[in-house]
Amino acid sequence: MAAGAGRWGDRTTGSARVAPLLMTAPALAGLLVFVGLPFVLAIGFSFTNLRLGSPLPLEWVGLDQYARILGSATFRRALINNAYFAAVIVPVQTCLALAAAVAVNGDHRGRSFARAAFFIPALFPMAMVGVAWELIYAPGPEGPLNALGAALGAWAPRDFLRDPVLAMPSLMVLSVWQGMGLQMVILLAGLQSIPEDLYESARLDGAGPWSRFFHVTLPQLRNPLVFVVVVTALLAFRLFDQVQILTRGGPADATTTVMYQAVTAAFTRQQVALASAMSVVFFVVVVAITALGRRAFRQEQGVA
Amino acid sequence: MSSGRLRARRLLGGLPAVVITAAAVLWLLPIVFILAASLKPDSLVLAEASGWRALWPGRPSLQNYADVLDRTAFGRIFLNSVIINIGIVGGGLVVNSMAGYALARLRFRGRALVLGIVLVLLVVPLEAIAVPLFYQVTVLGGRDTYWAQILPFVANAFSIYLFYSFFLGFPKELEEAARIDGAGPLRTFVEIVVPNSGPAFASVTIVTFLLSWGLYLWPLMITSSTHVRPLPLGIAVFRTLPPLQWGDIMAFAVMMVAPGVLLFLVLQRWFVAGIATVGVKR
Amino acid sequence: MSTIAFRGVHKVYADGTHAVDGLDLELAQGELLVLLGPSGCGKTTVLRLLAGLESPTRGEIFVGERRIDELPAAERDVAMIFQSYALYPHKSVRQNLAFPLKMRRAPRPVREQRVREVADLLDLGPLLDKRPGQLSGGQQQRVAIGRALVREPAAFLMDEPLSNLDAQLRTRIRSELAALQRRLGITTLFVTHDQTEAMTLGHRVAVLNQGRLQQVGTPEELYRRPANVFVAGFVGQPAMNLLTASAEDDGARLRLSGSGAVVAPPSPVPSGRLCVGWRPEALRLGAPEDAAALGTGTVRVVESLGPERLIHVGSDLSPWDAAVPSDRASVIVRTGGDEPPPRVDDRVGLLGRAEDAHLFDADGRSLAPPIRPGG
Repeated sequence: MAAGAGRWGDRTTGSARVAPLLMTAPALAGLLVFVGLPFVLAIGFSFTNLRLGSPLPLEWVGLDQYARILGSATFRRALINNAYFAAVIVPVQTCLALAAAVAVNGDHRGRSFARAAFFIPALFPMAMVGVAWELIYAPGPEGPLNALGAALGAWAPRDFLRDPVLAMPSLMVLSVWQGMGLQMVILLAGLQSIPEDLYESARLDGAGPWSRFFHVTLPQLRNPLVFVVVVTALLAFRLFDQVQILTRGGPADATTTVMYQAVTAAFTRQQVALASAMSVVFFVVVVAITALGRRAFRQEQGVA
Repeated sequence: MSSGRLRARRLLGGLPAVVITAAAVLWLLPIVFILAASLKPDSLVLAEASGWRALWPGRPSLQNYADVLDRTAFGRIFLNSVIINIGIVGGGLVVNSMAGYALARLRFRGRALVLGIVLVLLVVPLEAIAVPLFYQVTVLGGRDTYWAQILPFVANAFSIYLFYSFFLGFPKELEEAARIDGAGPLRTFVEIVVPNSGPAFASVTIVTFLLSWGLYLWPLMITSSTHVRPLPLGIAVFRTLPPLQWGDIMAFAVMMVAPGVLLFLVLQRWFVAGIATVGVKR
Repeated sequence: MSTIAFRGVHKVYADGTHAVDGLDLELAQGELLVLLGPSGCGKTTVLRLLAGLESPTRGEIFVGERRIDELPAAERDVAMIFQSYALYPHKSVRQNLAFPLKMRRAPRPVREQRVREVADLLDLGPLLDKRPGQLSGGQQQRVAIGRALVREPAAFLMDEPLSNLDAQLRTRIRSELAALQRRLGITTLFVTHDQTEAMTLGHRVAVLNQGRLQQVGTPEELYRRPANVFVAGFVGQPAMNLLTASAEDDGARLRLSGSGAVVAPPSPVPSGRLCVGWRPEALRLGAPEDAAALGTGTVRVVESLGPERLIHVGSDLSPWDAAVPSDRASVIVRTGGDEPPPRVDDRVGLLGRAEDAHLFDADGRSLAPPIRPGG
């Protein structure tokens, strides 16, 4: 006699009723306690004047914190920086990842080498990439990048990380270098799942390589591409590690980001409520991006 | 792979493998630079950084590596990363796979609600909740501990969703056969479903690992000593430790990623196949 | 070893579809009953209801004296063989066979002994330590049967177990299955869409369409006395020629629509639109001028099948299925291979005897007296 195996398709009896609860409980508990609860707290705090070590009593201040951050030039700059970073990173990294995936998809000697080469930086923690590239960006003519520039006659020695105009692009370059690998692998998988017949039939119809790329490859890659774009955009808005290690938000707020502002507010100035409000704003932006992404994804479901 | 072969030749027309290899080499240059710098005496690192010598250690020596081990508790820091990651990945596989399966296959009251919660929390990134989570964890006495770096990340909405999508496509007949044979839901999951879901577990392992290995913000907030500090924070702190010796720093960098890179090179095919299923599903 | 009974069983899905519509069916002990029907007719659902993978919306199911429709699958004492065999890919054959016993907490020596017995019965000895992936289709099937047998169930359920095998293997395993079932005497419910299988395997065959039982009987009965137009057209290959006719002379005569030929029915027929069917082997070709011809037409296709031929004739007779345009409908005639074949475009007459005709009323029900009371 089987011990308590309930009919868990149509109706459940006995111990089979317990199983689903047992199986979801740990994950659910973890999510609620470590994600749900802090989220609710963040929203809650953002409507107060919570500041650790402050003699003032805790009280409800409504939208004051939000007014403060949206009125703060620094925070607005942070938002713009995030948008700037994302606006450049997403297309550049995606195109590079696509090009790399296409290149690596063929069968030629050196394909494994190229695939490994493009992917390996993705295995490096961003913190390590930041520290290493600081040396590459060394100012003055001794810096490797500057030396390269001099050799190409392209630019005079620059202090990349302290130049208000070049600081953000410098962060972009190393971020793309690290991030491209993962996206390439995902797109590569997408490429390999495209049925051969589509290419053959296009070829018979007279399409050349570029035509086939635009009319067969890209449409079939719609889903992985949307996925890659959304994920890259989300990661771009979470920009923190490189900023904290390399530029500290400078020079003159040229590289400050929303998360950097929030963490500094919370830890160096104990402004928990302010930091929470920033987190909430950040969350709203993330939701917007994800929603856009989901819509683009769903639109494709019907066609593909 | 023959389909890929033909495809590339068609797509790229006459683009020779040489160009691709050249691009790959270019992409690797920073790594070569780091490696070379780690093998040079500190005084030469910057001095030679501007010429072709930047990529070439004249007389390679492991002195920097020895220095790192002298100057920092590298072994400890590395161990910390390993412990934390095994905790997050291992714990995550158990907890998230069960939840994903229950959501995909079992009918129970509240299933829609739980699924809804997962989908909503899917969108909440760590950074949005880091601050309040920090205070929560502090209140529970988690500062400078392992558990504070592991537990909050074990249950993961994204992993649950990945497992959920995968299990939706699992061959129902195997589960039905087990059911008729007398196995309950948990038994079926453990004995029948899990052993036949290799790809899903591989994907989730790799993706979770990649994300958790690089955690920086959280350890920065939570830890204060090398006691439980993981590698990404370790190298950032080392960078600020006087005297500033780039050779040592580069050696630290190499030591921290070398095992992972070697592992990847050995398991390349599985690695790539493992990540592959992530983006194609969704 | 038990009887099986379905009493008033309904299965209605959330969207309103009646997968099973009022099923009353009984299986005798040791019988092999085949559920036959087109895809979507509900036969697999009936099987799953018996197995416990789904529960009936209304009605009762009995195995022997026990009412089982509210019991979980594992407690019903039925074993199922899936279309894809559903062998556990990561377990060896031995472990697959032992699994049901393991789930029932049978002690190890009992498990080992049963596995050995079943392996001997089905000749699985050399395969015991292999994995399903290493076995051929036929071998996998035997393991699936073994896994079902190991529990000594009261009933066997088989869901199109032969459809994944190639043609030659299918015939061989079909007879092996029949022999095994006879030998063990386990009541078996067998689902298939393949007529040949149904007709050769089953002691009785139950024909289902759209969730409703059309007819239950021996293959012979289904073939000679179809209870309705559906069974008449479904059982038998090629299908019976079903034509439209109407009554005349108060039912004493039958006029075939289209050709106008007249036939004398064995007993008076009701008025209204009627269906008359002749099986292909009941028809002959003759001269188009023949006065006794049921209809005339032109030969469209001649199919040579070795010992016999199938002749497709585009005739003036109206098909029963109004959906088929009459210029496409063909009457199919089966002839022996000895006579010289007609040529395409030959004008021919269709000849057949009134005694060989199957008659159905406007609702498709057979007008022939039932063979047994209650069918």
